[in-house]
Amino acid sequence: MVEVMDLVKEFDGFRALDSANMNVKKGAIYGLVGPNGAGKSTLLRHLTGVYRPNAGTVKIAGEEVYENPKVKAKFAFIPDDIFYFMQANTMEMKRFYQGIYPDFDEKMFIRLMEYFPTINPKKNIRSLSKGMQKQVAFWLAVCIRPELLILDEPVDGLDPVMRRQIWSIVMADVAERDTTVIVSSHNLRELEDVCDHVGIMHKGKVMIERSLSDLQGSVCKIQVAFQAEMPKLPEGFDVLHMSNTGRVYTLIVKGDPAEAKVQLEKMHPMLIDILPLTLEEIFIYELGGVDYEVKDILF
Amino acid sequence: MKSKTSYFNKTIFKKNITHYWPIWGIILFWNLFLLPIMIYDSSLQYRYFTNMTQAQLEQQRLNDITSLLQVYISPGLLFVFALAAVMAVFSYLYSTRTAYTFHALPVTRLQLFVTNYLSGLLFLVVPEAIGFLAGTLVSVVCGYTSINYLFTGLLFAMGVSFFFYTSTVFVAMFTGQLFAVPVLTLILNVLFVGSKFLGSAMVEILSYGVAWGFSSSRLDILSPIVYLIRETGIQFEYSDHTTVVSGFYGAKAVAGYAVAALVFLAAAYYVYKKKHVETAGSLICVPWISPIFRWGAALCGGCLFSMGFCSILGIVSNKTLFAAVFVFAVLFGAVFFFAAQMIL
Repeated sequence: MVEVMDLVKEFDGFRALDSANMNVKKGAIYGLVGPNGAGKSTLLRHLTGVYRPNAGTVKIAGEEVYENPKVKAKFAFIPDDIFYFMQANTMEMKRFYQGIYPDFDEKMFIRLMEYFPTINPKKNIRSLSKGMQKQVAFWLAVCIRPELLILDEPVDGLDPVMRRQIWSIVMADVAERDTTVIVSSHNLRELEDVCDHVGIMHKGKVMIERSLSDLQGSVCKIQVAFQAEMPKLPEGFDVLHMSNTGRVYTLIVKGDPAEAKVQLEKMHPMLIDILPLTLEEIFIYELGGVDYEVKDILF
Repeated sequence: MKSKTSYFNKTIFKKNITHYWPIWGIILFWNLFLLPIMIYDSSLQYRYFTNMTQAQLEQQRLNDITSLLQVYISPGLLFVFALAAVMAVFSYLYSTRTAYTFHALPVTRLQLFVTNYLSGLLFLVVPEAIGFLAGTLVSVVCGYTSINYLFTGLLFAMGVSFFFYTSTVFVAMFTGQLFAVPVLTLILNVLFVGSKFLGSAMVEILSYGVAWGFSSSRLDILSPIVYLIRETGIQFEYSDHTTVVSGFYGAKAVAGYAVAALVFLAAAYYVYKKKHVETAGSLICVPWISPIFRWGAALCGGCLFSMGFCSILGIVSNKTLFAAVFVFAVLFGAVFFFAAQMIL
């Protein structure tokens, strides 16, 4: 559905995207994560045809996006900083999107009204809270009937009930129409619940791009305790992080968890436990491997 | 079936008309006030003038209409209206939020440019046309016969509006800040004449024995607003203690500027097409213009402030003036250079 190849973007000599590659299959819910300044928003703006790349291609459904209204009509984009016309209410924005997007579904708009009971569609949107403005954005985006939904920090500012509401609307759309979703967010705990694919960006490149299950299967947390000191670990044991509390060592290990366990069992530990890693932990430890880690602050 | 390429987007056009109604509303009100209302108001006074001959009455009425037309075709006012129209319809280019939103919509840059350009142009020419039509109707009803002057006035106003609007659109493509549009447009409209003035003054100060050389020339067309104010209008003649209208002057200049506007139009679209949206918010969007702006600000600011400062200090002696102007020009030039660098 989405294909980004060797994308390069420079701003005044600074390379924000450095031959970034991304592939998103149709129907996937793809979480785009990365540290601040990794290039996530820049990448999303290329997907939406806002930025013109210095090099590389960005294709949606096999066609280049830039200056292609036919492709642009297939996606809806909800940025982190949403724009509405001054003095516009929801009805006016609906009329605007109805005129711009050929597939805008008015019946869907009316049907979704019950899911946003706190929003008065005739009230000036700018006078609504940030969270309610975001709800309006989702409301309108879903009515466009997009094949691709691009979301930048989508649930930021929403209360927990509305977050679930929004995600349920998105998931229902995915299930019903096989909509592809690309979400950029720092809220990895939430992404873990909704995404099935993850792309981790760092310094303008998509470092890792895998299904969530593969990612969680390729890095594991092992708690192990030995009678004496920690013995020397076997060759080829890829440890991303190690810490200990007394004789209990916690290892973050890259590779197959079962194989790692087998190797450690040969060292006769007192206890050994394989624990699942959250996406947040995978993110922290993977990026720690490329020098982006939590640094201890010493005062 | 072959797909039809559309250069115009009705939804965006409708949005412009409904959102910016104060602008075209004010322009429309002004045109309706100036022509039909003021013509009618002028006609009322002649009810009581029973001792005038028909010819005298005709002449007086013509004077009334042409006095109003002087204001109607005033380049200064048309310039201001054009600026307001450009700043409104292209305002989406000057904030990253709006620029990103509009460029993510399923419309091409050509559609955005054409739709917004036409919206703004209609804000100007439609009120002018309505003013003309209403003025003509009132003139006919009130017994005025000089309808041809109204029509010529309309052509003048439309030609000047078209030029100012299009040239301002061209300038607007080079900047990413809304309030830089009127400033840069005004600077460019007076730059040639202003530089000529500064240059003459500096030469007179710095070169002993060289007399003041500033005078009008044909090249002043490079400063459109100055040229149009000076070279277009309605000619009046005085004969037998009465003022007689002899006609419009500067029609060729207006026609020439209207043709030049077509070049500006093509150039404006080209710049827009190449423009990077991420430059919204930057003072200058085109990188190679930045050093020109920086050095231009340094040179003009340095010379102008240097002369002004010396004038305030009352330096009259030639030797002292030479040194003072030179030193202050360098100092103020440096200040303006770094100020320009800071805002870029």
